[in-house]
Amino acid sequence: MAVALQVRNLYKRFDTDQGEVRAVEDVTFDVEAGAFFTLLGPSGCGKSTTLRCIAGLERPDDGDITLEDAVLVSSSQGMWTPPHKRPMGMVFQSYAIWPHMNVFDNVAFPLKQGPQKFSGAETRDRVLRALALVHLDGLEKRPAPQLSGGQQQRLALARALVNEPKALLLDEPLSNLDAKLREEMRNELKLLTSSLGITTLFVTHDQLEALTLSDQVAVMDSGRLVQYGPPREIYEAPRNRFAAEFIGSANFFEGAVTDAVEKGGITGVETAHGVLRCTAAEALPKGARVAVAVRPENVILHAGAPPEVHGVNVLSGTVRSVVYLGNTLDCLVDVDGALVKADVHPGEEVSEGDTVALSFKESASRVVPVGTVVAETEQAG
Amino acid sequence: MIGQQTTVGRAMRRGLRTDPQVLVVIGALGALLAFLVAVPLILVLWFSFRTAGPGERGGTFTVSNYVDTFLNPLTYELLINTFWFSVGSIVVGLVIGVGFAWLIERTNTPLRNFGFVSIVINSAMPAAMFAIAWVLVLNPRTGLVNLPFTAWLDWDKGPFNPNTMWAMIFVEGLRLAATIFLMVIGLFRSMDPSLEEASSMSQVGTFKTARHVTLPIMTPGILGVVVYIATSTVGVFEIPGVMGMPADIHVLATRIYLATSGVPPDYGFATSLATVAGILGVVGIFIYHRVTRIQQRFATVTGKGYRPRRIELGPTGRGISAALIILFFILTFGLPMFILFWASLIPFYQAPLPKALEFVSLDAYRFIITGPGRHEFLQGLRNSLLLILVVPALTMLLSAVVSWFVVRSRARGKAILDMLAFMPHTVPGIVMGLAWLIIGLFVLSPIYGTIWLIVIAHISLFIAYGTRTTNGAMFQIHRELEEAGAMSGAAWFSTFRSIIMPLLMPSLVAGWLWVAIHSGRELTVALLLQSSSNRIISAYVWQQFFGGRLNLAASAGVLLVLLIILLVILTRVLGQRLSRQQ
Repeated sequence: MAVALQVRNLYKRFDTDQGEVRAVEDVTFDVEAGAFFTLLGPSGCGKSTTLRCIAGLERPDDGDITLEDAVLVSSSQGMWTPPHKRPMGMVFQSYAIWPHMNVFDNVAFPLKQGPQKFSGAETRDRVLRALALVHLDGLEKRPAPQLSGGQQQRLALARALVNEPKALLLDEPLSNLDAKLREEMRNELKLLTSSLGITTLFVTHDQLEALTLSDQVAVMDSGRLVQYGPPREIYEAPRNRFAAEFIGSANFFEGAVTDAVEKGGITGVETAHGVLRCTAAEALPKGARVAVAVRPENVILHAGAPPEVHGVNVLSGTVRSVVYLGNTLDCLVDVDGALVKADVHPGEEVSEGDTVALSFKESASRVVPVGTVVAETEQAG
Repeated sequence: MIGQQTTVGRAMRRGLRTDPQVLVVIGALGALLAFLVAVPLILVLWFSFRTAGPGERGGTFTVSNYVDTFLNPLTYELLINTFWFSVGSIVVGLVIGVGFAWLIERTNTPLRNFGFVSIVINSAMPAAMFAIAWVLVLNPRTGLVNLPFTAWLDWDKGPFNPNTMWAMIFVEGLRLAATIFLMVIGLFRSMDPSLEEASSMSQVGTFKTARHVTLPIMTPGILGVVVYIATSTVGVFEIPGVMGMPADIHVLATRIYLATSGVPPDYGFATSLATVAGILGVVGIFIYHRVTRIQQRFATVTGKGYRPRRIELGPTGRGISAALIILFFILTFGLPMFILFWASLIPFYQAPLPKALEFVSLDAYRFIITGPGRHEFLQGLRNSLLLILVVPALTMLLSAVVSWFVVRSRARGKAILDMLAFMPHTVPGIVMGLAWLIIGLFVLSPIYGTIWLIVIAHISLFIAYGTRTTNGAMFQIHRELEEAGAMSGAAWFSTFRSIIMPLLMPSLVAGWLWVAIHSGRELTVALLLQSSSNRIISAYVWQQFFGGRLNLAASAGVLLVLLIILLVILTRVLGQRLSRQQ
């Protein structure tokens, strides 16, 4: 597929009372035409600032942004396109529905005041089509402030789409909705964007939204893009500790690589609990300090600690706590002083104080670098 | 969980209704506010229908005061003057105030902080002194702006004259600009910037966005500001008093003042005019509330508090806006302050030209501080300091208690308390002054002529502002903090003292300083209530100015401005420290 949006070496800094904040640091990614691309990260990680740089609402300090052959920002050429000259639609977190207009006028505004001129009939036609798309038909005359949260959200979406933009930008659009409505809108958003085939950039701090909606997810931390790829890859093969911790949860075992390894190869890591076998996300030299990340659902618990459990990655310990969560048992196992989390099938008979064995496959454990990315989520506030 | 909370809440409510402490306090508060606010205004209304004035014996019911007033052609001249004065000065104030708010909040103009400082420092200069300074600047012979014509072209008189409606409108407009600026900048800030960004993202340019989005959304707010300001200009006294009265250009406030200070005073005329002014004020505030209700309907959930993008001015634009900001500082503070200081240095006023330098001395300061004039001046200073210390403390304490009832309690009658506390705001200052004059003569004659009458009158004047501040702060304090106090077994008063008051402290301090500044520079009420023993500095300045002792007026005025600047700086420093703490 063709690349629709290119972001290259984007930098943005803010001067605040507390000094300079590096909101976006050297962010580079491509979005394919028609793809649903998500920027995921905790608040203050720079994801919204990145989106606003793409929208033109912030002027980046450095970097290039290209949308379908049109250069929007190029620091080397000193080029910057103001937001109203960029063919994009945007849905804001607050929806930004103009309170002095009714539903129809809100959607008609981009057509009436925008660069292209439309006849009255065509404006009407397009507005009604956009409203029908988001199931707001029949509400044209309603004053905008009288809409419910969910309706305002749909209205904002209709307004962003009415001009047939080349890209749709969504800045945490679901965060102001209650849980049930959020799920409903999430499904609708997915259907709508895929049926329109529009290139979509979505910003969220909710990992579930990111995993369920996206073709590609980019994880950001402290202004940096720490990993990007399909949701499954992000979840199953986190490239660093932050990505592993922010999406889902993980156990970490620190240690040193026993043998040099190629990207995707299997190596051993000498940890406090012996040598663990695991998959390397990138090539590593012998002796490199790393951590082994294992998702709790990939930890197999052998109740009763049968001594005959052999093979790789076997640990033994004492069960410290068992929490019943309905579909799973959340167990904490003390392995030589380290607490290891394991999600166990609720049918398993396990209780506090049991001595058990734990194991996990080498394909289910990942080597991530240690100490590079510390979760300094507060810093970029 | 939820069930439990409601039960606790209901118990609290029942508890509040029957808590004897609460009943006693609310009763006392109601009586106090009624005395401070309702009684004075009712007396004005009462005497407007009586044949005899306050302090006189007898008298019967009559409508002749109104008949006389409305048969008098002077009244219509007065109303028309008041109308043009209000409209003119509001237009001047709007153009400057909104323009400045836009420049400073929405563009990348240089001197942004300096612009803010000049707005704030303007509030340190009492209106009457501002007017006196402009009288000197615009004086046909010696005024600075007329000097090119008189000194160089050797004309008899320059073209500018302070004693005209135009000059009054211009000077009042400059004063209003600062207030309008502060109110409008609040509007700019409370507007969700994504409303404008959404327009940009609809491929709509800057100026169309300003016209179709920003302006329509701001309109109800600006309209509200206009009505609010108009309510106060109807009763404004200082500037027409200094500039218009000597040339017999009168507005409502100056006529009311003259009617009460004449011999014998014409209370029939004064009270009937005051009633008219009061009604105009109430109508204005009523409209204001309607308008702000519409504005609240426009209020939207704001986003993440991004600062809106600033419009980038070109080099020429930046130059022009910097020049405008400097010009504004010169007109609102630099020039008036310079002229006053100059006037305080020479015994008989002359234009600030080199040939006048030989007369420069600090004699006026010496005269009022250590010389024969010290009794009068130091008495004024003592009285002013007393006001600055006592009025804000009592006002804010009363405000805090009233706010608790208005915001927190479910006691009956809290709406009446809130209305009573807000009422002084709807009433022009000159009417409040007249009301307290009547009370002084009629009810509180033992303290008539003492500074305590002014203290009480000022509390009633500033209680509206005080309660607005504390109401806002009280809303911020979570009810459960207080309920936790009650659940720990503390009675209402202990909870109020040990939980509410400390949490309110930042707003109380801010309100305290605001009231201190305004009480220290207030003139209208103090002038109506003045006697030989309760004169405060602002009234002293007035008296010396109209007595022709300009150097004494100016030197006392300069000292008063310095005192208020000190308070303003204190406000800033404390405000910043408190906001950093939280």
